[in-house]
Parts: sequence; structure tokens; C-alpha cells
Amino acid sequence: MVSLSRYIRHIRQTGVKEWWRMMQYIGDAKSGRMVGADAFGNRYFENLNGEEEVPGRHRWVDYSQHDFNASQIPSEWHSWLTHIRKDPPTEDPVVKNVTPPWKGRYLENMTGTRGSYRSYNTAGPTITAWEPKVAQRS
Amino acid sequence: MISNHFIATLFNTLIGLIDVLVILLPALLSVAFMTIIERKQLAAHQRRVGPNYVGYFGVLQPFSDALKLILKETIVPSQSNKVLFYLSPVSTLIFSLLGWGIIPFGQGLAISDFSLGVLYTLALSSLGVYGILFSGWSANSKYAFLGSLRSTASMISYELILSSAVLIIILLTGSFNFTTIIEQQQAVWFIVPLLPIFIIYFIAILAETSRTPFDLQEAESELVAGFFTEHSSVPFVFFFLAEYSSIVLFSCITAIFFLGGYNMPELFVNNTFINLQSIILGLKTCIFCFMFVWFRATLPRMRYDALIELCWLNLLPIAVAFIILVPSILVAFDIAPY
Amino acid sequence: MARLLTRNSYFRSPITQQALLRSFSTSPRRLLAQPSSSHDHAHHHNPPTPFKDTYVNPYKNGPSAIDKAVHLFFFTEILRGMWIVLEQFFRPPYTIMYPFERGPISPRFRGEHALRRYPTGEERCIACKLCEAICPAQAITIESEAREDGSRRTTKYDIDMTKCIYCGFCQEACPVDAIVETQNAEYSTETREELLYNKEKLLANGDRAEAEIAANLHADHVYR
Repeated sequence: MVSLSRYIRHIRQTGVKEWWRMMQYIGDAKSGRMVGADAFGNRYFENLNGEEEVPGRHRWVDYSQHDFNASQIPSEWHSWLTHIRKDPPTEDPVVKNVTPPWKGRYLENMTGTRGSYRSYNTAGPTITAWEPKVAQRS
Repeated sequence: MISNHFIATLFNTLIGLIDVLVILLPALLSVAFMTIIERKQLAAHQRRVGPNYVGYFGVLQPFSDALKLILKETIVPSQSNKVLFYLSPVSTLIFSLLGWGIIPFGQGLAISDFSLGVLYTLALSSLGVYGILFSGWSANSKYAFLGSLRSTASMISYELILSSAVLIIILLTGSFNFTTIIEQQQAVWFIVPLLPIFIIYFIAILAETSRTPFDLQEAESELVAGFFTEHSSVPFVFFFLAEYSSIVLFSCITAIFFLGGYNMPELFVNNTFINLQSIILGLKTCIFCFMFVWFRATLPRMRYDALIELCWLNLLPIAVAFIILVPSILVAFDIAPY
Repeated sequence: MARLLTRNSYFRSPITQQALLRSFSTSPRRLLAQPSSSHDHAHHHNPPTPFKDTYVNPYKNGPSAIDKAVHLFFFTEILRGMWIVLEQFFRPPYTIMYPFERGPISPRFRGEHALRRYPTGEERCIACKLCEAICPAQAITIESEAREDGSRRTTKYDIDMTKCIYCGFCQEACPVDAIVETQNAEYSTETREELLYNKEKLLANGDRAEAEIAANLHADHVYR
């Protein structure tokens, strides 16, 4: 049973507006510390209090898009959300050190849209057709 | 020329129709919500969340389920008996819905305050067996047939227990009428003096509605789905509705028999401004609906021979003993109310 | 309840209190994993000698017949079970709401593939074809040519993700840590063709996830 007292406490902590937004998406009232946001506007939260959140549900994301899906999370935040990294990428020294300057822009899974990936051959053809060449007659 | 008499008859018929709709629509709605309550409650017992996507907290899940089932293809086995195949779900649903006709939801708030209401209820629960029997036979499938045989045998056996338990209440109140039975419980709810009989009765209605410790006919691991294996789409919806309707109906009847129906202790209710009687009956019904699901969450399915043995060798002798004991006490202390 | 217990002097003694609480408690001591009665132990340690001419009552250490009858008639075991089920009803669920919350995964998780680059931006893969050789599903196809500066690089690096079994042998085989499996598992597609990855796709995956991949390798480097 979704505990009523927990539910009401979280509404009181986050406010009605935030609660309404959560009811549209996650379908539950959660409250916690906002850890950060990524470039797409997804917000990441954490509540480490074991009395308020069941362990395992203590990190969550609020998607900025209405049509949300799990691949919208950039990979650094993905590794925070799945508990691979302890610290969020905004604070993690290791992640900061190894982020290269040529890091590509994150793309969500575009399948089913026009932007979906299409495979093509990156190498040149291994077999070339014979092209007849006529030598110049003198 | 249309006589006054004809107009009066027409008017009465219309009023009767509205009466039936006023009872039936909320009953069907409550049946729909019973399905989601069951799923959510089972989930809570198992520390899951349950359906939570359709509507807030999954409240609209039954409607999405119903829509899905209705939009499915109706498959009729080619070797089946077509008439009975369609008739059995309809009859099962009708017999379980007919039971709502005599439930008093408040003082005088019944479609018919039938003087033989208890007998009527028992008769309807016996008639419900036919739909199950015919559906299993007409589908021409061994799973459906075995399921219907099991179902019929267990329902007929447990009907004995059910009617013996009800008989004790009848002996105690001296009436077949639900309203009279409720009014006899003004002083004390029958669950207090008749607790052992309530336990027997509850076991019997668990078996009558084929709920979990006794849901042998739906044993998914052995028979695919029991007697409605071959039914799909709308006929399946009918069976589904009938099953849950009988759960809610039997919860309601249990509340009337043992928790004093729409009565509360006079301390709280009787002269309040709003008539709370039907709300009280609803709350009492909810208690038993909760218990149905609670039992399902707790108990594993019984073996079939253990099921029949429990009925005939254990429950029936106890029920018969109580049938002798209760009137003996009434006579010995000269406290019979009639 | 507590006030009521302390008010009366009779209830103040700890023994009666404990007995009272125990009679009210519903958490059964029987549910411990060890058998509570000493009966089983005794039986185990002293097997009955067959030729001794003494009568051993088999019910001696067990519960009495009245106890057993009481447990049978009052459904005590069923009631205990039902109480446990009811306790769970009032506890919060453990369900993880998937796209919003995620279960924990390991830094060694093997998901979608990626080709990495050196910090300078030079691609790592040197077309040694060890991954192609070790791939048990033969999902990798590599063709190579010498580049203009004379270094050997791949012109084709295709992974058929429909063949791949995600064993991770390719990243183990790679001498330059070029091919890795990232922690991304949300790359399901609507068509099969989208799963035939080529070199550009793999490099793009690597460019996007480089920080995550490098951090994972850093976290794991002490163990390999």
C-alpha cells in the first residue's frame, strides 16, 4: 500500500505544483534534494533518508519532455542514476577529469522517427566493375 | 382509446425499470472497481505497486481492461454447441446480478422486499451452477469440461454448508426476509454470538464464489483457465463480471447476515440528518471484499480431494451440530424471538 | 496501552508484562529457521537402540493432543499467516518506477558497444582484428587500409547487434581499449536494420559516452 502518511508528507515538502507535475508523470509523490539538471533540462533528485524513501527508490529523474523515455538521460547522469557513480557528474572529480573536449552531443534513441540511424557501408567497394577505356588512337 | 389503467401500468413499468437501473449501474460500477481493488490490494500484500498507469494510481484500469476485452476477437470453437456456448456466460451473469434485487440498502430501499429473500438468494446461487456446467460442456474442450466438473462438484458441495449456516440464522430470526434479519440485529450483530458459524459461512462463500483457497476450477497450472478456457472477448467479460459481482454480492449478504446490514449501533446513526444507512452497508461490504482478497493473498490452493473432504467430512458435521445446538439453546432458555 | 499497563501495580512486574506482551504478540517464534523444540535434536543425537526392551513413547516430546486439536480447530497457523500478510499490506512497496528510477547496475555492465578515441581525438582502433577473431557469434566485421599518414586504421568496423551475445570478449581482447561495451541498454529499435551498427555509429556512441566509459575504467582499473 502506498503509505498515506508518506504521501502527504511528500506533498507538504514539495508543494502542490510539484506534486501535480509528479502525479502526471511518476504517479507518486516524492520529495528530496535536487542534485542537478542536465543540458536537456531533466532534473535529478535524491533522498537518502531511509525513513522517507525505500532504499532503491532514492534517486530519480524528472524528465523535461512530455514524451519521456529512459534513453533521454545523458550517459554521465545515467551512470549516477544507476548507482554506478556515487557522486553526480557535476561533483565527481573522476568524471570531470576524463571528460574530453571533443565530447559529442548526447542523442536519445531516435528509433521510429526520421532521425533514426540507418546503416551504411563505411568502406569503399571491394569489387569494382570493369570500365572500358579506349586508348587514344594515334 | 387508451385507458387510464394502461397508462398507470406503463408508468409503473417505467418506474420499475428506473429502480432496477438505479441498483444495477452502481452494482456494476462497484464490480468494476472490485477488480482494481483486488489487484491493488494483492500488490500491496506482496509489496508491489500494482497497476498505476491508467488514471491516477491506476483507478481507471478496469475500464481500460474492459475496453481491451470487448475489442478482442470472439472465438467460438467450431465443434462447440453454439447456443449453450453463448447462453452460459449470459445466464451466469444474469443469475449473479439478479441477487441484487432483494438487497435492502436502507430502510425500505430495496427493489423488492421479498419475504422469502434468503431462499431466493440460495436458489440463485444454485442456478449459477448451470451456467458453469453448460459453458464447460458446450465448449467441447477437455480443460473447460474438467474445470466445469470440478466447479460444479465443489459448488454443489459447499452450497450445503452455506445453506446450513444460513439456516441457523433463519432459525435464530424466524424469518426469510432480509429486512427482518437486519432488524433482529439491532441489539447485537450476529457475528458476536455466531462467530463459529460465521467462519463456516465464510469458508462456504469462498468456495461458492470460487475464490482462492478453493479456486480449483481455475487452476492455471493444470486447467488453462477452467470452465471459461474457450471463451474470449465479450463472453469472457460476462464470466469475469459474474465472478466479481458474486464476490461483491456475497460480501453484501454477509454484511447483512452477520454485521447487521445497514444498522449501526444507535449511538452513532439513527437520528442523524443524512441517511447514512447505505454508506454503512457499503463500508461493511468493503470489509468482506477486503477479506476475500486477503484470503487470496494468504492461502495456497487446496488439493481437490482435500477440498471435497473438508466439505463433507469436516464442515458438514460441524454445521449439522450447530443446526441442532442453536435451536436447542433457543428452546432451552426460551429466548426464541418468534 | 502503555499507560494502562503502568498504572496497575499488577502489570508493573516485568515478568507479567512480558507474558502479557507475548500473549498479545503475533510475530510467531516458531517462524525461526531453527527448530524450536529440543525434540528433533534429541532424536538426532541418540538414535534409539533397536534391541532395548523399553517402550519409547513417540509423542513424548511433541505437543499434546489437545494442543494439536486447538491449533487445528482455531486455524492458528492460518491466522498467523494471515497476520503476516496483513503486516506486509501496511508497509511501503519496493517497486522501482522504471523510467524515473533505476535499479543499480555494475560498472562492468555490458550493454551497447562503442569505439573510443584517445584524449587527443585520434581513434584508438588499430584494426588488429583480435575482436573479430574472438567474437563467438562472429558479429564483428573489420576491413582495414593504411591511412595517408601510413598508420593502419579500419575502413569498416561493423557490429551486427542482432548477432551479438554481449559476452564482452571483444573488450577483453582489445589491446588498446578501443571497443568497449557501455552501460547503455536503452537502444531498442523498431527495425532490424537499425541494429546493424557501422563504424560511424560506434564512434558516435563512444564520443557521447566517453566520460562514463573512462570513469568506469578508472573505477575498475585496480581489479584488472
